[in-house]
Amino acid sequence: MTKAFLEPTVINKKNLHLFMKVFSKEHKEKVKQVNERLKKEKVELEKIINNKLIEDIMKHYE
Amino acid sequence: MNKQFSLYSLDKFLQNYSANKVKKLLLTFKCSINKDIEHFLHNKAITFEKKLRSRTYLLLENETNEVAGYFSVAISVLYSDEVADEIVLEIGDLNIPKDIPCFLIGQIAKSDKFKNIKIGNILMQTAIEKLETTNKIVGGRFILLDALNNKKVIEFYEDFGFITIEETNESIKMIRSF
Repeated sequence: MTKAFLEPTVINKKNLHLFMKVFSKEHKEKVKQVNERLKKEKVELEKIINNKLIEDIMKHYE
Repeated sequence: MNKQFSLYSLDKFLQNYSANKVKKLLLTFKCSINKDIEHFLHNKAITFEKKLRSRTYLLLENETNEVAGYFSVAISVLYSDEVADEIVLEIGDLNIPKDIPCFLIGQIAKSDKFKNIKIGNILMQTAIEKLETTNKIVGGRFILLDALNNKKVIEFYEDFGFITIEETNESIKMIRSF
């Protein structure tokens, strides 16, 4: 959301316990799994992304 | 999915066309469930791009030449002044600075017209991939994300490894490591 660009993100006493989860074994394992999944899905992604020339896109907005 | 898409940075368009012309393209994006996201792309993304506050990437549907979805990323900092000592104690890493350098996914959404097409994954995967590449070059500890506080939305981000660190009735802040 737009406010995320304007407001700082702060770790304080209220959310420290939630933040600490980012250092946990579970989180590291989850990120590893996600990264492996994303690597596999990249092949599918490349089939869908087929860049048109910018000029051809912008013709419609002249 | 038979549809084909193009993925370009907003900057690429602005290098070649006037802001007024590019705005016509951005106005094709509609997001009725989150007007903030629509407003950002229609009214702020170009200024943010020109002032280097964020970078926006557009997913365009090749048949209609309309914006099917977009995401905006920026450099960010996670402030931990108040609890810096606790963090160091807990994880035993003296190298954690009080102001932790991070990346932010400030906006990510698909247009109403494409709500039944699974392009959320394309956007998220591309955003993470771009930030991973940047991380390998300049460092940065986490990816931060700010989203609507909505069960379905949260589950979507959790599927990409994000965990919640802050919650209000309206919005939620999430984080993941690289």
